[in-house]
Amino acid sequence: MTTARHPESLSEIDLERRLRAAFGPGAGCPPPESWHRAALGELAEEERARLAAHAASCPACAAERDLAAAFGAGPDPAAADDVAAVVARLEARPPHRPAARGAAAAGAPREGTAATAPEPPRGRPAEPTARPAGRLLRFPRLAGAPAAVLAAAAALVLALGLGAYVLRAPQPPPLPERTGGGTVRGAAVRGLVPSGEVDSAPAVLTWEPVAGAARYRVTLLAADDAVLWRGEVAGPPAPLPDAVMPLSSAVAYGWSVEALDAGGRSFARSERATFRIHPEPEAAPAGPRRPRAKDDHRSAKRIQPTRRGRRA
Amino acid sequence: MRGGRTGWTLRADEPAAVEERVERELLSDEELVERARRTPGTEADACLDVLYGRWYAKVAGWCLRIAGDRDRAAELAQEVFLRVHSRLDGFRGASRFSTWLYAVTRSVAINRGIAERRRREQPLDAETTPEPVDPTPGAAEDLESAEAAAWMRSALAEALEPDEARVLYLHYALGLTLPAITALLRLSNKSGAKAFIVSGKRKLLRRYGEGGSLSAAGRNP
Repeated sequence: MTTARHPESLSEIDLERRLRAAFGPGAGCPPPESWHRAALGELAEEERARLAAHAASCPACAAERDLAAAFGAGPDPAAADDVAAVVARLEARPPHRPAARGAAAAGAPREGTAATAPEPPRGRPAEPTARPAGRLLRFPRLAGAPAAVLAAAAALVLALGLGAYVLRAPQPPPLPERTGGGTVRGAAVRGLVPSGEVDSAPAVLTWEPVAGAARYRVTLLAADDAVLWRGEVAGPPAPLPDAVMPLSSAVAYGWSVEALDAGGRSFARSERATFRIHPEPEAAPAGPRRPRAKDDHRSAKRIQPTRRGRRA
Repeated sequence: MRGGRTGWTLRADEPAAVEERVERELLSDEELVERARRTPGTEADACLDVLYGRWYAKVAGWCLRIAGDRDRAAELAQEVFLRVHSRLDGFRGASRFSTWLYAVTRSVAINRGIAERRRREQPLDAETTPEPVDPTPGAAEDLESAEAAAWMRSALAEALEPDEARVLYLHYALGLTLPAITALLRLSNKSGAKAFIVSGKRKLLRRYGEGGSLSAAGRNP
């Protein structure tokens, strides 16, 4: 019989340290984002059942499941005022707009309870961590400029900008009015074909016509969401251009359709459809082969048309 | 003013700009990311206005649950979106944008350790927790051993109620505050998560006092 080596007594501090060490990721634990995918309904029934069984015996994963569920459930209605205040802070300092961030850092008026927010040190970036990088970011670097000058300049720019905005457009721009023909913003384009597993490469993409549509914009995507082709047609079907042909077998393609009105405005769009072409069958062995029911089952499960909503 | 997200620079007499805004609103999250990549400049900013605006409330709500108060939640949420923006080029659409956003949000929250600091500000009641004892020689080395971690995992699974173990994980591994855990798990007892912490730790210490060996835990018969 072997026993684990351990101290004769254990302080509370040691206990807490040991707890943190013991709660490291276990070998059989799924990544935390799996619980979010499960909450979204993205996982197959079999995988969801496996995760549920794991959480029943793993307190760490049960807690991760609760955290992900809280994210998916959205804000607590009882905390609506707090949420609105935090959102106002976020809107006042969007991460991709240096002007707004700079103005906020300089103490420009903000909405909600922003005045209670702790400000970063003057003359430094608004957030002390996670220095932005990447080509999407365009933060001006004004190192060396006096903080007071920067603050004053930012406040002046914001004041002028707000003044101009108020004079020009006191109200947010209205959305376009509904046009005739029964078209409604946000309506759906349905009946996309092909979708799911197909036996041969399609020559055209087709869908159900939408009332009021003058043209349709069709987008074909690769498995990594790269746009392979985007074009407009007067109506279904849309022939696939030579530039994307031939399509590869065993590769998933996504595609979607937008309906455009006479003015070229997009007023309806489809869910994303996904299709995949069966690989060419290998040479069959001599003699008849009796089809098996489970082959069909496996084939049907191999790919499901993905439903990609705009929001989780 | 939520309408300001995408309309600050628009004028009511600019129908083309309004049409573009409507078109962006119809795009999926993943399409907005793609368009922001393809069209740097003002169009990218406009796409990100729409994309981030869709998620401000959800991230704010989650941060409020985790951080417990408005100011800490706002700091956390702003750090989340800075991180998201700085890493957006790395999003390749292997998962939904929302799943990727959740992973980033969770990571930022844990790393930030807001709750860890809150916990230090609100120590447990001395009367209800066991008296600390001096660590014995060799405890620090033992701390690192996989054997000790295995003992603790075994004790967590066998000696604690599931809710106690979950609360301990959220508090010690992820650093959530006790009020945040109480709200997250909807604990309805009077002292909330604190009671689970106290009872869980007491059980672990008692188990240790009983010998604490793996054989005692039934792991090595």
